[in-house]
Amino acid sequence: MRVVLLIAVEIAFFMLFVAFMLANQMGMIVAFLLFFILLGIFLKKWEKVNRGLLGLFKERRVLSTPLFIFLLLTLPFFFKTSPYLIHICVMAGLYAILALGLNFQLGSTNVVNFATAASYGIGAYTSALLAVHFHISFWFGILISGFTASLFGLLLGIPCMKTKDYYLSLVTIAFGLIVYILLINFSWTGGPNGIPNIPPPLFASHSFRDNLNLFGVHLPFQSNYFYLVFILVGGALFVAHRLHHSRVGLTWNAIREDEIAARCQGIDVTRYKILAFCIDAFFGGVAGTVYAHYIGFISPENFAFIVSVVVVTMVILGGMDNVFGVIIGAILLTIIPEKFRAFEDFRLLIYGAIVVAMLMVRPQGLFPQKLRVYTKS
Amino acid sequence: MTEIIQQIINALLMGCTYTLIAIGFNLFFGALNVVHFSHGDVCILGAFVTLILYSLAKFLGLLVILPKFIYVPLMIIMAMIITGFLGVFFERIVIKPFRYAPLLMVLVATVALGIVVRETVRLSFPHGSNPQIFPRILPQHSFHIGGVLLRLDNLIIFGITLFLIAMMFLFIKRTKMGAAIRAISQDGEAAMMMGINMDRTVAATFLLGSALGAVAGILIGAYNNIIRFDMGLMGGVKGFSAAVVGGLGNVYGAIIGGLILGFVETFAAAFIPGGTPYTDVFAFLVVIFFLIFRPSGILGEKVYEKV
Amino acid sequence: MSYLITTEGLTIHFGGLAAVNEVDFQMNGGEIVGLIGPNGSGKTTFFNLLTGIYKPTRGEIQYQGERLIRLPAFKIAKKGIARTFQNNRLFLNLSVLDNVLIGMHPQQDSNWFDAIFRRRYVERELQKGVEKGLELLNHFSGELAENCYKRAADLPQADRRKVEICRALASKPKLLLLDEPSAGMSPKETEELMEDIRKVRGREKGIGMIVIEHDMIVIREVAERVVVLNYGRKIAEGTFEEVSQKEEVLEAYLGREEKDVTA
Repeated sequence: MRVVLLIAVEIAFFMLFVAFMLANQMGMIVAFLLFFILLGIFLKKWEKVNRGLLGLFKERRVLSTPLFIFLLLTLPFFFKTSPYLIHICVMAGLYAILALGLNFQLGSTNVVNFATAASYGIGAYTSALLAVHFHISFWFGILISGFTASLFGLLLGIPCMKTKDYYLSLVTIAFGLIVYILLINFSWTGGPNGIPNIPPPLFASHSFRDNLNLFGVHLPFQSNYFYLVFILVGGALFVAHRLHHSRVGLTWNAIREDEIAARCQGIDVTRYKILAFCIDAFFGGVAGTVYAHYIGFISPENFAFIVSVVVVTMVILGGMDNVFGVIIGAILLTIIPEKFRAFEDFRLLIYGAIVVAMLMVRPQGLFPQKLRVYTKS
Repeated sequence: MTEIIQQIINALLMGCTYTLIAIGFNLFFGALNVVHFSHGDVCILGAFVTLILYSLAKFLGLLVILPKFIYVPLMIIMAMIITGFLGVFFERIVIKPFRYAPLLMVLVATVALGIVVRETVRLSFPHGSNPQIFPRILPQHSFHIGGVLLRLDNLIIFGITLFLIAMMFLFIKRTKMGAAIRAISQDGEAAMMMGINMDRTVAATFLLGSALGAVAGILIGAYNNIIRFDMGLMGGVKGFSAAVVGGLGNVYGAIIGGLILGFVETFAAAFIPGGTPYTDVFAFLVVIFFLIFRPSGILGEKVYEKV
Repeated sequence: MSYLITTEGLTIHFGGLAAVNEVDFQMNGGEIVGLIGPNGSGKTTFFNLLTGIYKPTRGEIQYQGERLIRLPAFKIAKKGIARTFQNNRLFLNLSVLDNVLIGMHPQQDSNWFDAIFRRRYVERELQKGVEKGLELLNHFSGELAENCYKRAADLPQADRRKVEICRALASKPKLLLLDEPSAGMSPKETEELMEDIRKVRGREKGIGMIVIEHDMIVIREVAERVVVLNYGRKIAEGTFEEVSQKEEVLEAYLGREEKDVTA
């Protein structure tokens, strides 16, 4: 009986989400949004229902998770007449990867890294240059740019590790700006015009620029990227989860809580901070690569300081060191502004206001860090 | 030789603007131990406020009535006051709530505030995203001395900066409020216990810092004849660099840092071939260097963490 | 025979002030040494020097025959010196159990690669850690072991001390430094504390302890030897009885009697 309830609830939420996305009348959109907000408040207040539902999902994890994944995979089918919606999902996924990466530093270690855009950009440019000039395939490119971005993370991280967190954040801001200026000025990066004509990935002679034919249905080409990003987000989630629930994640949290006490516990703070830096950069590089090959052209404007701030906003909003919270933060801050396209001009203003509001009211984010619980074996 | 003198003058000029911005950073850091990341945007706000005042004056026909040497200083003073109070307003809503919170929160909050300020400016002005023309409020004459081109507006900028710095020092050294500011820079809690009104003193600090910064914004606008809503980001980071180099929290440091930054930038642009686009990069590298290896700057004190 | 830890002429200057001034100190494993002195006499600074948080301006520290001065704090901790803090530095937003688990850091060795790709190894490591942690907590307070998922910030002061001690012991140290463990405790809690200190002794044979205290009852009960600091200098050493009679010590705490001025 409970199984039926589980399936019904999941499908209901899913259909609501699809309807929200497909809605294009401002009235409908606002109505949906209000409904979701009220639902959220209701669930928060009514603890019993909340815990009951969550418990049910956890218990029947073998059923609820594959069902959830399956439903997500069907999204392109629902959106096949509005490829723009699939595009939004792709971008949300990319930002989710960036947010997961940043979470290692911001959420786990409390280092505010404002250079996410730099690793995003380095990844994008590395792969783009390799593809355009040396015809290196996307699949190699993605690994190479991930490591290149990581390398920059290392180069930045090593001299910085003695620096106090506060000053470290400022160093990351300066670093991000330096990368931006260099990208604009170097001729081999295409200068302010960037790099055009980046080839799309090829998979078994199927180009990602072509429409996707699945089960006899013609899906717009964005679907290719949708599934790619889906897998990547899954991978990022996997890595983040594993790291959090391990000695590494515990150590990061210790560093966040009290660096001096952490040192006295034998923790090599420098090494772990650099590790966070590098993994964050790697995620950034991977996301950047996908972005470059998806959009097809990149310019320094795409990797300006504001992008870093947006990702910081996502982590602050979603939840510091809560892997799911961070993803939700990314999704919310990507999808909702897109639905309110008319207010595009105010987007950054609202982001800024959200950050200030969240910091004042609920600095741990919408979904604060959950306590680690160890099951007895 | 003349080339060098020319560059020195340019460097001093840049140094002046950076110093005026850096003083704000140092005052705020000294008083509250915070880096007010959106201070640069407040400075440029000063320029925009001046723009509004100018347009208003033009609209009211005041510009034809009053001679330039009256309405220009008047506008500057009014802009200083308005921006000063705006600075205090921002402090109240964004910095004060985090006074006892971890420092990183204030940093992120002020970064966000910077965005809000920038975007508000952009949205409030017609075609806000484009550069706005800034009125030529400084005299345009120039004259040659021994092959060196001296512009009158340069000299005026030097003069104004020196005057303001001198006034500021007088204020800090000779007035009661100045003493209060120095007190809270040393030890905020002790100052409070001595009866110093923390809120009022902090407000005075922000008023002072923002007003001086506004002048920097105005001078930038007057010199370049245009202002953009996002100049505050770069200006702020550079002003902050100057503050760090000189020593955060130390107002003398603002002067030294401003000069050093001005010189590094100008000479890098002038004498390194193809260096012009990278002047900003040099400035940032300098600040990164200091942040990593000598965060207390040239004049700052080493701080020992209490365990 | 070699000492567990010795210092020779240990000195540190902050600006012009010598917070610790030419201190010579030795102790063996298994000893409990009390470190007392008026406020500001340099006791905590001495601990900070031993644990590598501060680097001395002059002098030597030898631990099990090894020089400690060049080493960063985390390496010193790995060698087996653990401490608690005057103001109790627990990882407040983490659970009690997590705090103790982090204490085991030097005893574990899984890294990021293991976390991602060798899950079973990491799980086993965590599992072992949980067992040992619970056992350690149980030794000091069954109640704490039962509520091991409570957030450290939600604990009362006495419990926080216990958790801090457990966290320190989790790394199997050979030298344990306790900094004013009885601060803020009621007489009953202080009794429990002294019992805890004896439990540590009983559990970790051969562990050396240095206890900074202002509560002389604790010192009298647990310390076999007492060292007295004043203005950064060592002014007395001996058993509690010997030391509490010494004029310099009384003077340090109570001040000197004013000579008759009217004469």
